[in-house]
Amino acid sequence: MANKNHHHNLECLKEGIQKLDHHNTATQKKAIFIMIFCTLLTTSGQVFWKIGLENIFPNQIFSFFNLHIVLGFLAYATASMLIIYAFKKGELSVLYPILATSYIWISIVSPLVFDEVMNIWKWVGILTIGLGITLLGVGSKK
Amino acid sequence: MIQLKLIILVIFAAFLGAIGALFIKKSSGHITLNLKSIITNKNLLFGGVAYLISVIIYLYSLNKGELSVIYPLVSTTYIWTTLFSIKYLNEKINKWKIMGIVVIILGVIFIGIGS
Repeated sequence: MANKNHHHNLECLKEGIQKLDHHNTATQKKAIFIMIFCTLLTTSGQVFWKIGLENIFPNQIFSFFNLHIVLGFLAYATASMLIIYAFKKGELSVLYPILATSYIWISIVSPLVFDEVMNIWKWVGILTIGLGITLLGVGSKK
Repeated sequence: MIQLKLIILVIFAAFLGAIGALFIKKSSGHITLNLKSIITNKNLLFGGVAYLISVIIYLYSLNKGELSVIYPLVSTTYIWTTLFSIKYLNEKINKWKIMGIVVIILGVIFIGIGS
């Protein structure tokens, strides 16, 4: 009798763990999705800032608060909050490399918007930095 | 030459930003939803000011330099944050973190050459 009960408890525990696992992968997926969105948000924020900075005049202090600068700050603030939220939900070893893709987006967008020139050193540089950030993420595994 | 000056400036801004984040993190244990406790919190004030100055220096550099050079250098924040977390927040160091820091430094050097 005791043995049967024990067996039943074990089954319940197994089922519970399975449910928890399923829940964890679901929140992890959500965190990944939020993170991808954040990289796009920070990339557009940087572009807004760079455009906005070109429209600042030193003799007009309020020209600092132009539309692009404000949009840049909004993107930055939103992304920061979402990133903190995602960090709580997901594994850093997965989320860090996703966050590092923003360097790739910036490298694609910069030549298109600001006629900057990418070269092999810059590409190797951002990919190396991305690898380094990934390693830090692996080292921070919970 | 102008680029090199900007690169050093951004790395300094990233350092200041990490200091700001550390102090804001330290302050977060003592914060209640009481306005007085928020205003009189020295760690929060210091962290906030450091963070603000770092953003201003970053914006200055972004205005003078190329986005594709300046933005990747913000990644040096990860180095400072990792080191500070180990020294002041009792997080553990391991081989992955050491490798990560070295590889990021390498990447920054590549960007420097490319600029």
